[in-house]
Amino acid sequence: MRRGVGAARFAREKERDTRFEAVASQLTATRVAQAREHFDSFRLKLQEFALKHRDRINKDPVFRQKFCEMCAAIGVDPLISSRGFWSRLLGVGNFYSELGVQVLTICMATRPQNGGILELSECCHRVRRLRGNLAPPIDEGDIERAIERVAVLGHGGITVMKRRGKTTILSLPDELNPDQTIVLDLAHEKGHVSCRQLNEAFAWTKERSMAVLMVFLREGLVWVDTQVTAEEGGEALYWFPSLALSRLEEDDE
Amino acid sequence: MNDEVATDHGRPTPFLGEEEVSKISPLSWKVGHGGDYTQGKNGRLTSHRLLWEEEGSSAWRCIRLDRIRDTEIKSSWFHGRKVVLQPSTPTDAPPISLRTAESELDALHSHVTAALQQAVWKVHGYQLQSNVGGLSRVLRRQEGRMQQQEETVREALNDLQALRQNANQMAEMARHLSRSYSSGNAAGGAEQAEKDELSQLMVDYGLADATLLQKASRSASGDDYYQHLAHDLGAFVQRVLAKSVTNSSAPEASTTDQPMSDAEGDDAAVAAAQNGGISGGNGMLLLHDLFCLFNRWKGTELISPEELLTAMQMACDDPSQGLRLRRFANGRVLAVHSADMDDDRMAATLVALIERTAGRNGGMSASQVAAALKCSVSLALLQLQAGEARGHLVRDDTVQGLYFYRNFFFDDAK
Repeated sequence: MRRGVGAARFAREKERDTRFEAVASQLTATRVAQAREHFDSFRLKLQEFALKHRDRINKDPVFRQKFCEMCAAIGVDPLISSRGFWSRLLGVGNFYSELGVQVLTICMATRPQNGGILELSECCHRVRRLRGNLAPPIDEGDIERAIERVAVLGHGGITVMKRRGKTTILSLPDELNPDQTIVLDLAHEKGHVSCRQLNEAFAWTKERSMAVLMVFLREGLVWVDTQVTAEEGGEALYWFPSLALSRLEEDDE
Repeated sequence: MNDEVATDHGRPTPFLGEEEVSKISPLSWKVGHGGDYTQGKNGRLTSHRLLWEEEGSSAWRCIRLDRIRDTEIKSSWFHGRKVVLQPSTPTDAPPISLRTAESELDALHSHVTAALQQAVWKVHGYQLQSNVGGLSRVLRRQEGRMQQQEETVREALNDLQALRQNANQMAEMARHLSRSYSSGNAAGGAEQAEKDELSQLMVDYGLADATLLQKASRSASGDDYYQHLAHDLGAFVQRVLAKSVTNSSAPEASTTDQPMSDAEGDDAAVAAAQNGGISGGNGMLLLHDLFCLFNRWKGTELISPEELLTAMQMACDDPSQGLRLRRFANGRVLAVHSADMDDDRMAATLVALIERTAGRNGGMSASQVAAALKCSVSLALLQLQAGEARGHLVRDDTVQGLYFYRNFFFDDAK
């Protein structure tokens, strides 16, 4: 005999569903309440931490790095909003926004000289000079992080290129092709390249070398020195201003 | 019983012949039987005394070991074990109780006992080592400073570690909660409010991704920060763009309706633009440049790139603002321009500029155009390429540079 067919069964099922729903919503409510409690207690912890170490985060690049590593490890991004707790309590959001503006400004200001290739160390040096002595100190990691932040506005404007332990900030309208990239690598060694150097390093023909160098020259990335003495090779040298400058500074140190 | 300690640049001045035995952290102490424990930090035991720094002030206090007769470990039913120091004089003096981590208690007790037995202080007495002069004094001071620095670093890292554990739990839970929410069915009114609150919390704690950021910004989240920001940003962009269009003095562009607002803000925006050497070229502005300009204009309470992007998207979704967000080069570059600007008009302006500057048969490179429009080279190149794609311009790729010319065939075709 079949049972529970018809209106009675529907009524019963409906009642069961509403009961399930009630239990489910109660469960969620408890979970949310608990979450809020946890959030509140965490906010207290963060406040405590801010009270004690806020200055250190803003003044000590190493500690700031550790702090950022910690945030990255747990998947928290304190810089996403300048109004979140992290920024309000610790001031990190503002710090990186400010640095981002400064780095972008420097890239733009130095473009007439370097065509958009800026060595990270030189950028760091210039940012420090721009900020003055009273501002909290920054290091190269901070600059990289600031540039990473700006990347959400599109990757075309400014990118960080890391090759062979050297970090370069590129603010070029176009991406570099592979040939151009390895020429830039070579240029890190001396600050300049020539057709002969390219031939020795990559066994390129003069035509291939000149094709790359002419693009660089045209885009204003290199300065050409035609007055090269015979003992230096007697061949035109193509200088990357920012790389040459940072090499000079390294030698001074 | 516990004395203040003479310090030298924030470090306690040692006594003659004093040597450090062990560090005690954490440390709390009390005198007598009743009352509460007081917290101390940087606790340490030397051959002469027990030292600690008072919590909240940088004053150091100590208990001299020559005044201690005996030490023992006592355990109480409720509070766990403690080390008790019995003063030698007077005989009825109240004992001093010390607490530290349970694991270090035995070590502390044995160290104190050993120090009491050795009684190093009998050799030189309690004579401050202050008569050290010259180089050694400088070196010692330096060493002290370094040691102190190292200690504060260690303390800070410990705190950071503690924070990390807390944050870890918090992040885990928040993610779990948001997963269970997003897998759930369409929410009702009350649940929706809770969901909004949760996503706001996630944004506040930096757990949000871009979509959540936008969602949180759209929801009625206590205050309408993003609405205000989008409004301010829209007005700011319009001022900059209007200025750039009048600057390039293109006859076609004069029809742009210019919602000029307060002259003061306009001046400030333009001053900022000139200061940074950037402005909207040809009625268009790269978001990178906007980020610089807007934050410079704000001066304080800078906004993050994410916030800029979200607010700009909101401003562009609002038809009354009359702005469009545009992606160039496969979405790699983002720019904003007024809604009545299109590629053909933009290209026409460029053609007019090239003819004005280089003559009817002349060409211009991206950097020349950038200089003329006072915009970044990237933006100039993007606009030239867009003009080329529409057929208004043609390129000449030479050794001297990439030049753009007017496309006469296009004119003929018309």
